[in-house]
Amino acid sequence: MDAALVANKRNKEVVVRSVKRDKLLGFSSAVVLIIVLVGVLAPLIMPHDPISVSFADKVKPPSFQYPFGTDPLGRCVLSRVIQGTRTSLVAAAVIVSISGVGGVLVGLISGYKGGKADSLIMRSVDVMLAFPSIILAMALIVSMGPGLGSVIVALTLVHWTGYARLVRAEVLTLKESEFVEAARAMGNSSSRIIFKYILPNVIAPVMVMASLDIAHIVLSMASLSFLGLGAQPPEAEWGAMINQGREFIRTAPHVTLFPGLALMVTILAFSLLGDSLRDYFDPRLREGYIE
Amino acid sequence: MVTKQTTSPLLAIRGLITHFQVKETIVKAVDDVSLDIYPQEVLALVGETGCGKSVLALSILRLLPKNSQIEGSIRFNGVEILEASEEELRKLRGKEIGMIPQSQATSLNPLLKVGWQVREVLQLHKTLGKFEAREKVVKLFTRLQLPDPAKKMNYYPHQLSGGMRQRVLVSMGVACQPKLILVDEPTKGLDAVLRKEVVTMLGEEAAENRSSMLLITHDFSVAAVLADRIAVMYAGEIVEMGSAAEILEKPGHPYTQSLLDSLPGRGFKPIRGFSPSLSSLPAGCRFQPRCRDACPDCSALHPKIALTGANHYVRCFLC
Repeated sequence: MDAALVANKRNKEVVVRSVKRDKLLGFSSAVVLIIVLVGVLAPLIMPHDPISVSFADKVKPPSFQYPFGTDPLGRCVLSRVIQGTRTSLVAAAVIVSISGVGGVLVGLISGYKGGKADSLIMRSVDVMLAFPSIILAMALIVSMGPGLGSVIVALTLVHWTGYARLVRAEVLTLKESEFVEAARAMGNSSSRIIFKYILPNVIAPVMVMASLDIAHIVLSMASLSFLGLGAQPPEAEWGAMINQGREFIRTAPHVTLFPGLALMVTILAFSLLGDSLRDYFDPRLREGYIE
Repeated sequence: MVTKQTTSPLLAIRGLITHFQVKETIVKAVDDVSLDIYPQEVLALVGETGCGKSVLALSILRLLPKNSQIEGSIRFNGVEILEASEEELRKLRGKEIGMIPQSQATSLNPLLKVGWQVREVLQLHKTLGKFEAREKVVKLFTRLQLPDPAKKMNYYPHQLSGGMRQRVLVSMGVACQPKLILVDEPTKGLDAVLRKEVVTMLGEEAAENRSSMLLITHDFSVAAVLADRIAVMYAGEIVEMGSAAEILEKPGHPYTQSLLDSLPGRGFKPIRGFSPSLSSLPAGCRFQPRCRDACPDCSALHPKIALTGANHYVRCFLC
């Protein structure tokens, strides 16, 4: 009877935890979905042209015509925030997919081959990680000339190392696992083993990392644009917009407030998504898991 | 028990040495092992944990880690395995030499359906279409008495019980009707009832496919049921080899005698001491520190394996 009660209580705890987790996953993915929709539909939902200048309307507070007000050049802040969503998401998607795929491939090769190739790759990763990533990115951008293109190239070059490390560590344990040994004993070639047996087993942690990475990249990009290294005028980008509104922060806080809020919500949503995905992929937190 | 020694052996191992370099020390996992396996014969390799049994099996498939050195000769069906290219080896593995790995719990890919995994073995080595391969898997599962075979194909490993996973692994090992099946500790982690079933199943599969079998086990009772011949391994060496009946009834080597005496049905007497580390072996005979019949010669000289009866080899001075 006692044991049954304890088991019952435990089950309840597991259920409560998993419902909580599912709620967070649902909420964060809904917010991410909305952000993505805003980015995709940007040209359709913008009330004004985000780059057309109108000196008659400069630094106007939020009104019915301009829900988020206007910036020092009389441009609609709402339209620019929407356009900025698109800029940030496209850049983040490009950076995450290139650095993710590249990093995963490098990690697979490094972990599976081992030996000299592994040492060479991992030492160069260590060198990359020895620099603060934002400073390394700044140096790269300065050498290429400021602009969104340079930001994408620089952040891609900085971010692949994380994936390479993560995947290599996973591969090192997986390649010694018995099912991989069994696969080899069945006559599978190395490439089949890497792509059919090892890769599917590293996808979950990579997805979690990618989601957290998007948040990180959006922030890095905004920082670089704030410093004038990223998006160049008149492009709409959150970091650049905050920089432009900096002088007016006392008299017209809406110019910096709204892009700042957009930045915050986006980063929070992707971080929460990453966290809840990590819980979701953890079998110990699954419903019905028996220890 | 039929002696099939008139034909030429299917697998002939001569002077096989497999060493591992671990930092500064050399671990002699397999040291100067010679043995033959004849067509349709079951050879049981019996020994304690860590005596090099599994390394011997992995040497036959050349699936050893990079820090290993391997010498000697392994001829399978006329092919020298130690000189074969990676491509030739790939064609041997799974097709000519099947392997049934040690632990059913971790030897299947957790992310793929079991039917897919068995089908893959067939499609790697035979020009079978997807549909034919599926049919073949259903046949295999049916023969191995996996309940509801067509449905079980779509299960993931974690949805199956230990006994069912063992059956899936056996079906992968025998899928291509290999000439030789390497079976590594088939009864590890199974309860008594299941153990009996698995042993029966292995015997039937070997007979069905007319395969030879190298059965690696530490359990004499498993060897007694399945084996035609038994080789006893101690600290990387074969210390005794002969027909199963003779080894079980008239063991020549003190180690074999002690092992048999330690069985629950035959005295339950433990062997004193521990098996030596493979990186620092005792001088002379390797079993000498634990041997109940050791004489001064034993700690000075290393005995050679010698014929003592009809096809019965013993590595002992028998003093």
